[in-house]
Amino acid sequence: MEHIVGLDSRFEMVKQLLNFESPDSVLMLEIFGAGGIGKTTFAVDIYNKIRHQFEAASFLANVREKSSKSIKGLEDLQKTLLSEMGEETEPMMGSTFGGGFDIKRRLGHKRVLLVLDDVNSINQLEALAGGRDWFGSGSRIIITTRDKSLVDKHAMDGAKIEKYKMEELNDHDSLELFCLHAFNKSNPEENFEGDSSRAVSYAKGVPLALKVIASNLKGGSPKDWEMELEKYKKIPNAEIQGILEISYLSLFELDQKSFLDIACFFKGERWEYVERILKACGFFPSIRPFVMKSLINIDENGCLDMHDLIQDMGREVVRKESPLNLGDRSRLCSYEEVIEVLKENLVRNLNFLV
Amino acid sequence: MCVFWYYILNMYLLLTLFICLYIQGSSKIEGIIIDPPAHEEVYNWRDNAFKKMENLRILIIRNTTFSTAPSCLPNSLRLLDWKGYPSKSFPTDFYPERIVDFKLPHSSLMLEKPFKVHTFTNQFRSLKTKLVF
Repeated sequence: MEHIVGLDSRFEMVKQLLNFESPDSVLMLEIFGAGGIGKTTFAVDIYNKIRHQFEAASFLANVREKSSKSIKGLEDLQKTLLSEMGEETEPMMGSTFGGGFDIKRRLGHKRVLLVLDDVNSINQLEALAGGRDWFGSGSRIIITTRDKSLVDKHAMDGAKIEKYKMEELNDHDSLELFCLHAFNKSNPEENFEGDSSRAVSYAKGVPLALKVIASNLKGGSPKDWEMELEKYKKIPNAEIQGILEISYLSLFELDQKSFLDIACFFKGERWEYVERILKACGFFPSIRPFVMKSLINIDENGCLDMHDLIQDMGREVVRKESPLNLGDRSRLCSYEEVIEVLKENLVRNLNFLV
Repeated sequence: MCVFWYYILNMYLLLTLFICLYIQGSSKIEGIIIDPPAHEEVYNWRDNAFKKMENLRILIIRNTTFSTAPSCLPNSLRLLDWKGYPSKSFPTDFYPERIVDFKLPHSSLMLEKPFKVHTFTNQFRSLKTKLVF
């Protein structure tokens, strides 16, 4: 369940930027900010609130991940875009899919709302929102990205550009979001007031951190809280990786192994399928502890959904097992590392020693 | 004096050799995935690289073409997901008793007429050649 806190005032600001009063222009709004700050949640919220004002609308999630997965990733996204906007995507016999050309041809006179979630390169913008004339007048394109200057490099032939910086939550909203996850209500339980504000201070207003810390503490006695909070205290600069790792460390050993397998190999796969493999590995897999700790979710299709930063944390745990010797790590998930092991493992070790 | 240093050097090389053997023989790797964004081709890989991976449970290879087939695969595998498996048959001593899923689309595998694996490279010999090199 996604709790929404502190987004109403932000929505009012974004509404100003989107400037619905000028229906003649095409406008692109960039929502930028660090990972875990809640850009996607906000974009979904905006999308749901304004989509009815447009002739057609499409929300493309995880653009970065989908386009990096394969060469055809961007083409698939283009097709999804068209079909969500209610357009036919199957090409005529003998013709090939025209990509951006097709989008322009079909949507050039429609007033559309397009959200591109988590964009990180110009290619993606060029393929999905190449120019002002791709969409009818009054269209609004919203992108979320970690790269503040991304839209500066992609002018969209003079479409109007606006930017909105996603700021950290203030103390009041932080506490509310924390409490919603820790106590299922918007203020702290009795005897937990002090510890709650202490926990909130470690999260530095980052919603993902708030959610994960709250889920980790949920259900514990005041004593448990004290003990856990001591761990958070030790993390230098309250780095989000460290905060997330505490939740990982609180899992049972076999669940930790399942978690690392999912972070390295199975993000986005169907849980039923992954469960079968983990069972064969002897891990007695259950999705419950991961969902309870807000580390993994199961989406509406039964697939495993994991925030990028949580996946990065899992991979970092594996890397730290043996930073230098790849053969001593439990899992290898980067192309270069695997090829190194398959090719010249020996030579490398020799170089290291001689 | 010179002889002395030569002796030391030899000892050192011998030591490295043993360390290498040790490193090779104790792979802790339980899972491997390669899935590069653009298609890759791999030449000159050690086709016996999987031999010492006795703990390997998960092997996922996608979007990558290997020039030669693996000469061995660990029997500890639970998942073998190899798109475009490069051989008509599995290695002869491959009996993954605990496997739950074979995913081998676009592979050259032929199950009806398995044929014997011909290339068996002695691990030690390949090591020696690399040392000389």
